[in-house]
Amino acid sequence: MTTDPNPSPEAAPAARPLWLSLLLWTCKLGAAGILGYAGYLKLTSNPGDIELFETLGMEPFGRYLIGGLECTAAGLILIRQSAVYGAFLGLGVMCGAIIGHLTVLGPAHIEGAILVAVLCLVILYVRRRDAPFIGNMIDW
Amino acid sequence: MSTAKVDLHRLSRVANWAIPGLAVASLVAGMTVSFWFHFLTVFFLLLTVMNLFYRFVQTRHTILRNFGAIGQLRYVMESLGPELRQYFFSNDTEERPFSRVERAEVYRKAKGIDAAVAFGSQLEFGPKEIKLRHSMYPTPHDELEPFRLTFGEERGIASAYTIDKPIMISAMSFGALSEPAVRSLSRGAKHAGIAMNTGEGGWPKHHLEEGADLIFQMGTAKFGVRDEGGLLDDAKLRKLAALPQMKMIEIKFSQGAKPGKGGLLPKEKITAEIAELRGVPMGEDVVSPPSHPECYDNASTLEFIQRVQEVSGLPTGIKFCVGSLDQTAEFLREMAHSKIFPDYIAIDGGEGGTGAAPKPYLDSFGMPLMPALRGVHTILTDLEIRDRTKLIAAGKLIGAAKWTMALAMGADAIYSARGFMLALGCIQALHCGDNTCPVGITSHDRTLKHGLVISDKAQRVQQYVHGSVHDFEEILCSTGVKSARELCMDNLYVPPQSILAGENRA
Ligand SMILES: Cc1cc2nc3c(=O)[nH]c(=O)nc-3n(C[C@H](O)[C@H](O)[C@H](O)COP(=O)(O)O)c2cc1C
Repeated sequence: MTTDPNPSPEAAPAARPLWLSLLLWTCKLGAAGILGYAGYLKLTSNPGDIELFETLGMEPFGRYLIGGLECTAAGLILIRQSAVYGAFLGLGVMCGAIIGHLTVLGPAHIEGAILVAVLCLVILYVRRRDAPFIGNMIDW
Repeated sequence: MSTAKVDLHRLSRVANWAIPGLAVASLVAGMTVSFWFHFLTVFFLLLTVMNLFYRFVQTRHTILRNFGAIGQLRYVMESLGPELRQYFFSNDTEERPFSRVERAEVYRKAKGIDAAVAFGSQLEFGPKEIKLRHSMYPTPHDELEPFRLTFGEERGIASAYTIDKPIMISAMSFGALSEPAVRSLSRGAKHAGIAMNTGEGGWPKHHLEEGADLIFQMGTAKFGVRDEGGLLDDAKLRKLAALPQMKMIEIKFSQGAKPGKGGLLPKEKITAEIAELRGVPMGEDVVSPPSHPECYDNASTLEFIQRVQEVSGLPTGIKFCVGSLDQTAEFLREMAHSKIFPDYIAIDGGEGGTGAAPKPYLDSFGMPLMPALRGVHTILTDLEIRDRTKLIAAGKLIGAAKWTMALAMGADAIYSARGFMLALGCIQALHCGDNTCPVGITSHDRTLKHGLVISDKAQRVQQYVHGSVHDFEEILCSTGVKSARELCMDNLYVPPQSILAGENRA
C-alpha cells in the first residue's frame, strides 16, 4: 500500500488501535532483539554456542548458517513491509531450536526459544493480512 | 480410466498425508542420522500447518479446501498463465487485441528502425482478407500531392483548421492515461505536427503543458465545461475555446468500447489532481451519463451541435459508434434537412479501446469500423451531403496500410489511440483499469510512472508518426493515386463474399 500515493478510502486499512500497535512493537523489538543478539553471539563464535553446535554435530557451518538466519530474521521483523517474512523465518529457526532442546540438548534454556516463537506468532497474527498466499484469504 | 493422466484429487490425497509424513520422517532422520535433517523437519512442519489452514480454516477457495497445498500450484500456474502464454506459447499472429506482429511494427516505427521483413507474410491470405490493390503504373513520388484537409471549410469560418498528415491522436483522457503519458503524447504530437484529442478528462492541464494542437473533447459528463446541473456552461466553453492551442471541439456521443454507456474511471485511478480537474469526489468510480441531457432526439442534438459551434467559434465535430445504420441514416437525413452539419463525424468502431468498460460492452456492442464507416459514407453520398462534413475513422488503425484502407472506404482522416499507446511502449498487459500498468502509461502510481521518461517517449511518438506517414506516401504511390483524396473502393481488393464488397468487383 505504501506505493499508492492516493489510496481510496475503502482500500485504506482500518486504523489499528493503540494497544495493538504497542503490543506489535513490543513483540517486534523483543523478537528482533533476542534473535539479533543470539545471531550475533553465534557469528562471533561465542564459546557457549560453539559447544552447543558441537553437541549437535553442526560445527561450524551450522552455527554460521543459523546465526545468519537469526540476524536476517531480526532485520526483516523490524521493517514494516517484511515483518511477516521475518516472523515466519524466526518461527522456523525457533522450531528447530525447540526440536534441538527436546531431542539432544535437554530442556534447560528451552524457554528462550519458546518465548521468541510466541512473539513471532503474535507478529504473524497481527500482520496476518500481509502474508503471501494466505493473507488475502483471511477475513478476520 | 487412463493411467497416464494426472489425477489431482488422488495426488492431493497423497500429498496431504505425505507432508506430515515427511515431517515425521525428517524428525526421525534428524534424531538418528544428523541434526541437519531438522531443517526439513521444520519446513514440513510449517507446511503441514499451512496445509491444515488451507483445508479447514479458510473458506474462500474451494480448490484449496479440497486439495490443500497442491491446489495452490494451480493458482500459481494460473496467475503466471497470461505471461507464459504471451512470452512462450502464443503464436505471433494470435494475440488480441493486437498480435505480436502488429505490435512489433509499431515498436519498430517508434524506435525509428527501418527494417524490411523477410521471407513472407505472417498474415492470412485467405478469402476473408481485405487487401490493397497496387497499380501497374505507380505514381512517381514527386508527383504525389501533399496531404491537406481543412476542418470547418464548409462553413467558411475563420478558425478553420488544416492538417497536413492524415493521422491524429484519438481521445484519451488524463485519468485514463498518466501525466507522463499525456505529456509524452502531447510533446510528440507537437514535434510531429499532428493534433491530439484531450479525451473527456476535464481541463486539459497536461495536454496544454507541452504545446500540441488540441481537440477538446466534451464527454457526456462535460468535465471541464459543465455547470452545477451537468449541462453545458457556455462561459466555460468560450474560455477554453479561446486558448490558442485549442483548434477544434468534439462532442462525444459514444465510443466503440462502450457504446450506449458513459465514460468510466475506476476509483483506483482517481488522484486528488484528477478529481480537481474533473470536479468529482475521490474514492468512488466516476461514471458519466450514457447521453447528453441536452440531446434527446435528432433535432435537439443538431441544435446542440450548432450551439457548440457558435459558442466556441471553432470547428466542431461529433464522435459516435454506429449501433444501427438505419437510425444513423435518420439522423443524417435530419442533418440534410436542417442544414446543420458538424464539421466532422468521427466513427469509432466497436473494436475500439478504452481504459475501463464493462465486459459485455467491450465485447458485444457496436458495429465494427469498416462496415459502419462504409455505411455512413454511402448514406452521406446518397443524401448528397458528403461534401458538407468530414469523416474520421477510428478502430485499430495502427499502421499506414490500415489508414489507407479506411480512407478508401470513405474516411478523410484517421484517429488512433492505442497505436500511440504502443508507440509509448505499451506491452498490452491489459491493466489499464486498475492502476497497475507495468509501463506507467495508465497508472498514477509514482513507482510505475518512473519508467516513462517524457523526452524519450515523445521522440518515439514523433518517429512513429514520421515512419507511418512515410509508409503511407509509399503506399499511395503504389496504388497509383496522386493524392489521398482519390482513394476509393477501387483501390481495395474486398473478397466477394464480404458485405463490404457491394459495388466492388473481385
Ligand atoms: C486508454 C484509453 C482511453 C480512452 N479514453 C477515451 C475518452 O476519454 N473518450 C473517448 O471518446 N474515447 C476514448 N478512448 C477511445 C479511443 O479514443 C478510440 O476511439 C478507440 O480506442 C479506437 O481507436 P484505437 O483502436 O486506435 O485505440 C480511449 C481509449 C483508450 C485505449
